[in-house]
Amino acid sequence: MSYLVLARKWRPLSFSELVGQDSVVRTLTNALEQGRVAHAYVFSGPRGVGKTTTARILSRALNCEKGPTPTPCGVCPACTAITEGSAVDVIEIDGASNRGINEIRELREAVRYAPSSGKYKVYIIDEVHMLTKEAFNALLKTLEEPPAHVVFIFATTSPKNIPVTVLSRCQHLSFRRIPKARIMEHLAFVSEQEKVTITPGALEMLARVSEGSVRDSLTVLDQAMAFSMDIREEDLQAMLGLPERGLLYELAGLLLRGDRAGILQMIQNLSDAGHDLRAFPKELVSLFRNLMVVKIAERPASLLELPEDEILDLKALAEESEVEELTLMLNEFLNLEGQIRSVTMPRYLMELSFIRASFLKGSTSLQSILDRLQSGGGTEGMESTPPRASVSRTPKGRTAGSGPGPAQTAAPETASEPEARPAASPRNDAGPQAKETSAESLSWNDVVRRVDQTNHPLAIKLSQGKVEGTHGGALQVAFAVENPDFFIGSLRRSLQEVEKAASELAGRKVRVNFVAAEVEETDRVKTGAELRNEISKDPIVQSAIEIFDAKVVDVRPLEGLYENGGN
Amino acid sequence: MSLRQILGQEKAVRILKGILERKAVAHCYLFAGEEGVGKDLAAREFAKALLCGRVAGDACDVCSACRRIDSGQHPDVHVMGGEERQIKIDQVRDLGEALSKKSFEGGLKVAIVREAETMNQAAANAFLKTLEEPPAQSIIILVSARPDLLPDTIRSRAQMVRFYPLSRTDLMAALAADSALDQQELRASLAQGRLARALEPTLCQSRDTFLEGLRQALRDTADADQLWKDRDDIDEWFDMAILWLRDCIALKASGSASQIVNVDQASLIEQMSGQASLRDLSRVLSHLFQTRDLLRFNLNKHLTFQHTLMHLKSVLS
Amino acid sequence: MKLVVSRESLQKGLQVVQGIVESKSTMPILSHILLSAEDTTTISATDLDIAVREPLEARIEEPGSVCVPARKLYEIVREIPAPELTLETQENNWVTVSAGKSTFRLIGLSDEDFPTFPEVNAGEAVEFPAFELHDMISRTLYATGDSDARYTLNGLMFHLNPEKGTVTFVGTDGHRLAVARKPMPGQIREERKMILPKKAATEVRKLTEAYESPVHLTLTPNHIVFRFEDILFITRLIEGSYPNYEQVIPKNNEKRMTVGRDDMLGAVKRASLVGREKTFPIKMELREGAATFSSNNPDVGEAHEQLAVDYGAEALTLGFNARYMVDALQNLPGEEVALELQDSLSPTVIRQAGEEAYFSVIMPMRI
Repeated sequence: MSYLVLARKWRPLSFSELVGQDSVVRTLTNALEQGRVAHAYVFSGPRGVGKTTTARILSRALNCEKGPTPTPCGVCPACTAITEGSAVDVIEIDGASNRGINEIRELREAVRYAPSSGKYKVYIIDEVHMLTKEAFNALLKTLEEPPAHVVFIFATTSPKNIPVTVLSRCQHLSFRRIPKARIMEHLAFVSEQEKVTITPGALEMLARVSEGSVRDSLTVLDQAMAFSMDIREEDLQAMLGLPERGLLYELAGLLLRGDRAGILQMIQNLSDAGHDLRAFPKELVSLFRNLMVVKIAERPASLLELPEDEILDLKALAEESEVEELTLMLNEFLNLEGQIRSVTMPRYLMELSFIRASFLKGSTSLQSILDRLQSGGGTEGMESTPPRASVSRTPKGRTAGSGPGPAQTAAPETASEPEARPAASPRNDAGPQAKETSAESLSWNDVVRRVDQTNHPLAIKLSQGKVEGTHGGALQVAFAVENPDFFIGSLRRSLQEVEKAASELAGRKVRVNFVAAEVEETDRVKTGAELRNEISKDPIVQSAIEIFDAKVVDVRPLEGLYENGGN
Repeated sequence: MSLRQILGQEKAVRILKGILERKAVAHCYLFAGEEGVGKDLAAREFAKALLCGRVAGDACDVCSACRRIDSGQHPDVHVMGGEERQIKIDQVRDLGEALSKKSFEGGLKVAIVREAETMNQAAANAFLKTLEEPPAQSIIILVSARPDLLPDTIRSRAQMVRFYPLSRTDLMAALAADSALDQQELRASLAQGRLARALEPTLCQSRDTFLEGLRQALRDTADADQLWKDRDDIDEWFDMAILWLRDCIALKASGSASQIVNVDQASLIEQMSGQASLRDLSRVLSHLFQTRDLLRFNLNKHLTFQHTLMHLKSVLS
Repeated sequence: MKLVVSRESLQKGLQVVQGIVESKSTMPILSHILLSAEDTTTISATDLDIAVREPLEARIEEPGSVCVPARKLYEIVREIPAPELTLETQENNWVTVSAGKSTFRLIGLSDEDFPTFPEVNAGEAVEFPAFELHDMISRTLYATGDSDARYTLNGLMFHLNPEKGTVTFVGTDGHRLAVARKPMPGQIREERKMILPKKAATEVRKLTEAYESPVHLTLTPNHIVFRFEDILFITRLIEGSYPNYEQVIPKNNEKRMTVGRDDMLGAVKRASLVGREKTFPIKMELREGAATFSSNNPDVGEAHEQLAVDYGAEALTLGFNARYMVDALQNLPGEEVALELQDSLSPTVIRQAGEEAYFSVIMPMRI
C-alpha cells in the first residue's frame, strides 16, 4: 500500500549523483583522496539541497570496506547498513530534540568509545543551531580535542545561530540553492525513469515553485504524479492552487484603471467560486515586478525569462501606467503577501490592499509633484533655482531625495505631516525681505542655508526671520512670532554661530541683531488656524493632500519660492 | 461519512481516491486549506479508507475499523494536536515512539496532526526525522489552515493536498439541507466558503450581538469587560469588526449594496459610515487588521479596546 | 451476556491484567477489559504495546461479550464479601454486577470498540522450555539501549536462523552488545529477525518465572504471541532494521585472557570506586600472567587493583567503561570467563570460558 516517495527513492548514494553541489563535492572528494578529512564539518544551506544526503555519503565514504574513498562501493555491509540506517557507528541525532547540555554531555562520553565495526564513528547532528548555548559550550570541549576516529557533521539551515567559537573549529561547507536549470534537468531525468510524461512548461513551473530545493521539486512531482502520469502545465497550476494568469491580468487591469467597484466584484466572484485567495499575493507581486521591469528595461526579455507573447501582454498592460505607481503597488502587494499568511479572512485583507493600492493610481514621482505644485502656484522662473536647494531645508526635501520615500507615503499616517509642507507656502508675506537683503548684497536665505549645513534646528528658526536693514553696522533681522521674547532669547544664544556663517559668506565681518517684528493684525491671524484653513482650499494644496493622504499642520514661508517669486 | 461524501472538495477527494486506487500512499501529506472546509474530516475519512477492512478506495463506514476510527478508538490511528494552543516536543516524541512499533492490527499506522502549524519550534524540528523517514507502514497526515506558518523544512517533506473554500453554490446547497438554519443568504455570506462556519447555529446571532455591542461602544455605553469575556471573544469580535468596516468600504467604493457581506444591513452600514471618506475607512481597517494580528500576543484588553474604539469613532457614528 | 463467577477467580484474573490496563490513556477503551463469554470465558486487556488474554472459570448463562472498566470492577470484586458474583449486560452496554445484597451498574463499552487481537494461529510456531527463554532474555536484556532517536536499539533482537539452526537474543546500545545463542528447538521455514520491545521482554521474563511448562510462540508479521499454558501474551514488534550484529562480533581476536569471573568482577568494581559517575572509565593493563585495573579522578584520587590472570600474549592496555564490564561479568554464567582481545581500540569479547552460548562485546574507550 505505502510507496517510497521520489525524494527518498532518488536520494543520491554517491557524490557523483548529488545535484548541483559541485564545490562541496570537490572539497570532500579531495579531502578523501588526500586523507585529510576534517574532524568536524558544518553543512549549511536551505532545506532540501542535500545536506543530510551528503552527510550520509561521506559516512559511507569513510566506512566503506574499501574506504576511506570518494567512491564508496554501496554494496558492502558497512555501506548498506548506513543506507538503511542501522549502522552502529553512524549516529544521526536531531539537534532540536537533543538540544540540552545533558544530551551533549552524553555525546561527549559516547565519542570516547571506539568504533565497533567501521573505521570511523560519524555523528550527524541535524538542525544543530537548535542547541542551547550551554550545549554548544559543552560541545566545544570535544571539538577542541577531537578524538581520532570521530567525524562530526553538523547540518543546519541557519548557520548564523551557531557560535563563532564552534564554527571556527569546523570546516564550513555551504550548500547552495540549486539553479533552476539543474533542477529541471534532474526532474526531467526522474520523470523519464518514472515513465511520466511532462511538458516543458510544467517542468519549468515545478522548478520555479521549488525555489532551488531538490526535495521540494521531487515532492511536488510526486503530488503531480498522484494526479496524473501525464503532467501538463494547466493541471499543475490547478494542483498547486496557482491563480491563472488571465485572472491576475484582469485584476491588475482593474486596479490600473482605478476601477474599485470592478475590483470588489471580481474578488467576490473569485471567492464565491472557491478560489484560494491566499495564493494571489505572491503572484501579484511577481506580476507587478514584471510590469515594472517591462516599463523600465529596454530589453525586458533578458531579465524576465518569459516567452515573447507574455512579455507583449505585460507591455500592453503596463501601457497606461507610470513606473512610480507600479512601484508603489508592488510594495503594497509585498506587504499583503507577508500579512495574508496569518489573517483569518484573506478576502477582506486582499480587498483592503487593493483599495489602498487604488489610491496610488496616478502617483508620479515626488519630484514631478513638487515641480507641478510649484509651477502651478504661479511661481515663474523656477528653473533658475536648483530644485534640490528649494527643498533641502525642510524635512520633506530629505524624503524626496531618498529612495524609500515615495513608498512610505503609501502608509497613510506616517508620511502625511512632512508631505504637507511644500503646499503650505504662503507667498504673500515676504515681499520686502528680498529687496532688503539684496541691498545688503547678502542673502539672508544664504545665511540660513549655510547654518543648515551644521545646525538644522537653528536654521529652521532662522528661516522665519526677515532682514529689516542695517542698524549700527549690524544686520537687523526681525521675527514675527507669537512669543518673541522667548524666541529671540533662544536665538541670541546662537548669535555667534549665525554671525560666523554670515561673515564667511560676505567675506568680511558681519554682525547680526535679532529683533521682534512689528506685526500687522492680518499677519497675526494668518499664522493661526485660519491660515491653515485658507491654504487647504487652494486646489493645488488639495491635490497634494489627496495624493499624499496628508493634512496641513503648519504654514511656513519657503525661502526659495519667496526669493524668486518676490522679485 | 466517507471520502465521496465530503462536500465541495472534489479536487482534493479526487486526489485522495486516486492515491488509494493506485495504492501509492506517500508517507506524509499536508492537508491545507481554510478553517472549516473539511480538512479534519477528510483526514479521518482518508485514515478510514486506508484501514477499512471491507472496501478498497474509500471507507465503508460500517466495518469495525471504520467505526472505531470514528469513535477515536482505533489502536493504529493516532491523533495529535488541535486541543492546546501549542503542540509540544513531548507529544511529537510520543508519536514517534508509537509509530516505531509495528501496527497493532496488522495494517498501516496513521498519524493525524491537527492544527500542525501550532507545533512550536522545538516540536517541529524534532518531527523532521520522522517526517522524512518514518518507520515502515506509517502514514502521517498534517492538517493546517495556515500551511505558510509551518517551517519550510516541514512543508518540503509533505505532499500537499489543497482544500479550497466551498463555492457559494455548494454552501447554499449544504445550508438548504438543514431548514433549521435561519437567514441562509447571510450565513453563506458570513461564512466565506467555510462550511463549518455556515453551519454554526448561532452564527447570525453572534453577528447581531456584535453589532449591538459595537453601537453601544460607539455611544460609550459598553466597555471591554462587557464585550469581551475571553480571548476567543476578542478574536471573534475583531473578525466581525473587520468585516463591518470592510462592508462600509465596499459600499462606498462600489456605490452599490451588492458587494456587502452583511447583506441584511445595507442601510445601517450607510447610516453609520456615510460621513467617513474611503481613505479614512481604509486607514481604520488597516488598524483593525494590525491589532487583530497582534492579538497573538497577550495585549492589554482595556488598552486594546480604547485604542480600537478611538479609531472606530473617527469613522463610524 | 450473563456470567456467574467465583469472587476468588475473578479477582485473580483481574489482578493479572491490572498492570496492563491504562487509566490515563487518551483512548478510553484501554482502561477497560474485554469480558468474552463464548464457548469459554476470557479476560483480555491491552495497552497497545502488549496484550493479555486469560481464561476465566465461569458459568455462562448467556453468551456474549462486553468491555468493563477494569479498575472499578477490580475494586468492587475486592470489597465484595459474597463468594460468587453475577455479571450481566444490559442495554447500551451497561453491566450489572450483583453479589449477595450488593448490586452495581457500570457503564461499559461495546466489545466492538476493543482492539482486534491478531489471529493466534496465523504464523509459524516454535516452543521453548520456559527456563531457557528466561535465561536468554535475562542475559541480554541489560544491554539494550534507551534512546529517543534509535528505537530499534531499545528492543531485544530475537533472531531465528533455520539455516544455522540457532536462536539468538541480542541486546545492544551501540557501545556494547550481549548475545545469547542456542540451538533452535523445533523447526521453522523462514529466517525471522524480530525486535521485541524492552517492556514486553521484561514481562515475558516474569511470566517464564511463573510457568514451568514449555512456552509456545506464534510468530505473526507484526507480533509474537507467547502462550504460557492457558494465558496468551501478545506483543507488538518494533519496526525497522536492527544493526547487523554479526558484523560487530570480532572474529580474529587472538589474544586470550582467562580469569575467575568473581575475581575480575570484584577487581573491576573496586577499581571503579573512585571513577567519575557516568561512565566509570577504568584502565586495564595486561602483561604475562597479570592484569592491573586502575582508575583516577582528579577530584577524588586513584585506585589500583592487581589480579593474577592467565594471559600469555604481548602486553596490552585498554580503557573500558567499568559499568559495561560489570554488567557483562554479572550476566555471564559459569565460574571462569575468557576475554578475547586484539588491540587497545578494537572490540573486546567477554565470554563464559569454553562456551559459545553466552558472550558480550564491549567497545574500548579512550582513556
